[in-house]
Amino acid sequence: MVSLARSSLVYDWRRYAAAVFAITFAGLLVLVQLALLLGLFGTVSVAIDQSDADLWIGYPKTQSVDLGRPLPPGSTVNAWMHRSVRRVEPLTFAIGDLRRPDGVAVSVFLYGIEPVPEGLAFARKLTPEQRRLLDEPDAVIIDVADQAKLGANVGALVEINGKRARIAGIVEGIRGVGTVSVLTSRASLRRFSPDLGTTTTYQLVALRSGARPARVAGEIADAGGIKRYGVWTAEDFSVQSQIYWLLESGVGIGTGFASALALLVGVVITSQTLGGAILASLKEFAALRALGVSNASLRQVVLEQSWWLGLIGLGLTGLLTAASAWLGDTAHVAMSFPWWLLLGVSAVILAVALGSGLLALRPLYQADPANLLR
Amino acid sequence: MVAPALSSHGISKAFTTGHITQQVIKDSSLDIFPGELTLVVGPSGSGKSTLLSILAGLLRPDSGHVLSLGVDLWTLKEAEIDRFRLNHCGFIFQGFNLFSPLTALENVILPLQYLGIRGGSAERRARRALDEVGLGPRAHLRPIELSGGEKQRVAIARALVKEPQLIFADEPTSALDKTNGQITVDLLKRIAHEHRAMVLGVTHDPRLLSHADRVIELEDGYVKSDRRSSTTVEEPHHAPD
Ligand SMILES: Nc1ncnc2c1ncn2[C@@H]1O[C@H](COP(=O)(O)OP(=O)(O)OP(=O)(O)O)[C@@H](O)[C@H]1O
Ligand SMILES: [Mg+2]
Repeated sequence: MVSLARSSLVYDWRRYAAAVFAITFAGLLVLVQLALLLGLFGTVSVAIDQSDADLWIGYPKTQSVDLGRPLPPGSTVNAWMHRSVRRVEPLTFAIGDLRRPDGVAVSVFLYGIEPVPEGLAFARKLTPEQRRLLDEPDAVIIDVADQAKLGANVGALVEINGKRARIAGIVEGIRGVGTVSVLTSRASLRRFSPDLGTTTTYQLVALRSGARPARVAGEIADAGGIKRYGVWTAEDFSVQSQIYWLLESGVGIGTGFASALALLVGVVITSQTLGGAILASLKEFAALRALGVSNASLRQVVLEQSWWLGLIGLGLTGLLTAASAWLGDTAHVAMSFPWWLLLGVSAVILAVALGSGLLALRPLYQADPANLLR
Repeated sequence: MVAPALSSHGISKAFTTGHITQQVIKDSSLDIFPGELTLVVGPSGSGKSTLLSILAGLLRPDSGHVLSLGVDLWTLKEAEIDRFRLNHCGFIFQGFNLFSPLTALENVILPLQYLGIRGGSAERRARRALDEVGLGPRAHLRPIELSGGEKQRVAIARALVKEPQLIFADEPTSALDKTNGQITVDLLKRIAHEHRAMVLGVTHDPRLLSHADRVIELEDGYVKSDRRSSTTVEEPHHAPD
């Protein structure tokens, strides 16, 4: 089987290299940007996503989880009375100042959790043993990604808000956007920040199996005219927090714009390359037309070419993405490559290639065999 | 008496450029027969290529009919004309028009694939066609590695491989030197005789006329003369009717 499309790609690879690179880099740019964005905004809601709560009770109209304010007392009464509620657990946020062993101060985000084995907060990150570590007064757990910034290993003594603290353990994946996260028990947190008193930022609610979170959220909501607290399902609150930062920071718009631009450049270069290749072989195509080969068959040649360009670009994107992911992993840069992202970007890459092929078809109609006879 | 492979009845064609309309073909009627090499000659601009395009189904005439293998060609739809050419027509152009990424063999195989002939049988047929033009040993070379005369012979093999009843050639020798030109014309004549195909060529090279079975002279859109060469008709390898 002679494939004009494939033979041309191999023989004239220098001509097509530009298109392959355009497709590859468009794909890579889109994929890595989105992965970074997802990684970044995934960390916004890390406290939600890594906890086992079905519902979150917080200050009314809190737009993002990190913007929580002290809850008024009595916010959990409805929750406690609901028969589907299995557990209600306080979670307290505070900003603090951590002084490293070498005396340098770092701003940190403090999470005060209940260090009990059945605790909900960060239940997906902390092992029972690590939870038990927080039982000890002054014990804190930090993220491996912040270890260098805090200049501290396990067992190191530091100061938080001028009070003694000890690095009791290290976990991975609790870091938020641009903040250093520190996990500690609520009891220790009260010592670090005495002015917190008994207030708490959130109440985490776990439901009995079979209960529908969205429905229970409505049933335990504040029925009063002026709401004293709000209730969200964990999923809603997570998405809401991510969208808030996506819009607030402008990063989302920037990424969207850059991605669109990259794709556009990819399409332009690829269609120009394919169009140029058609023009270079216009007489040969016209000769095939004279021999009775239909226009549709010639279109197929071009589309087959763009398909191959897309596949090659996809392969290269895959390799480079793997390399980027490895780099990101090594540098503890949060990147997220969910399967739907990979699938979506693959489809976009092939669409860019095929779309470019379709755009490049126009010169083909100049392949009029009558022009060969002059 | 052999029936004509192709006959035109009262075809005419005019081109309009700006305000000027030029009547290129004027009420032309011709019968072209199978088994012989017919050459159309005439001064530059006399409408030879235009006539060939119309007869071959590449350019729609303003009026008149072309009866091609018994089919009224220009009453067919565009796609049907494509199909007709695919099944019955071979073309040879002045510029060879071979795909440079493909070897000689692949260039010859390519049109067969569009007829649904693939794999081993396509390759066998392509090799036979290349053997016939004397290029069997050079089948694996790409156009860039072939001389002009060799490229034109590959183009002839490409036209021939479908075993078409109608072969059209527009200035097939004008890019070639004298020797290669004569080789090419003789090849076309042999193909006409051996395959009983109609070979209709256009040329302005008077040196080739003696090689043709029939010479039609065109001037200003009219047929000025129509001669049959008695010597060539008597050639020994001309298959008896
Ligand atoms: N597509 C076209 N548009 C306008 N005029 C055309 C077109 N094709 C041909 N002509 C005109 O028709 C006339 C005949 O052209 P044609 O190509 O048939 O001549 P020819 O006999 O093949 O000449 P040559 O020996 O130089 O190839 C010329 O005057 C040419 O300018
Ligand atoms: Mg001409």
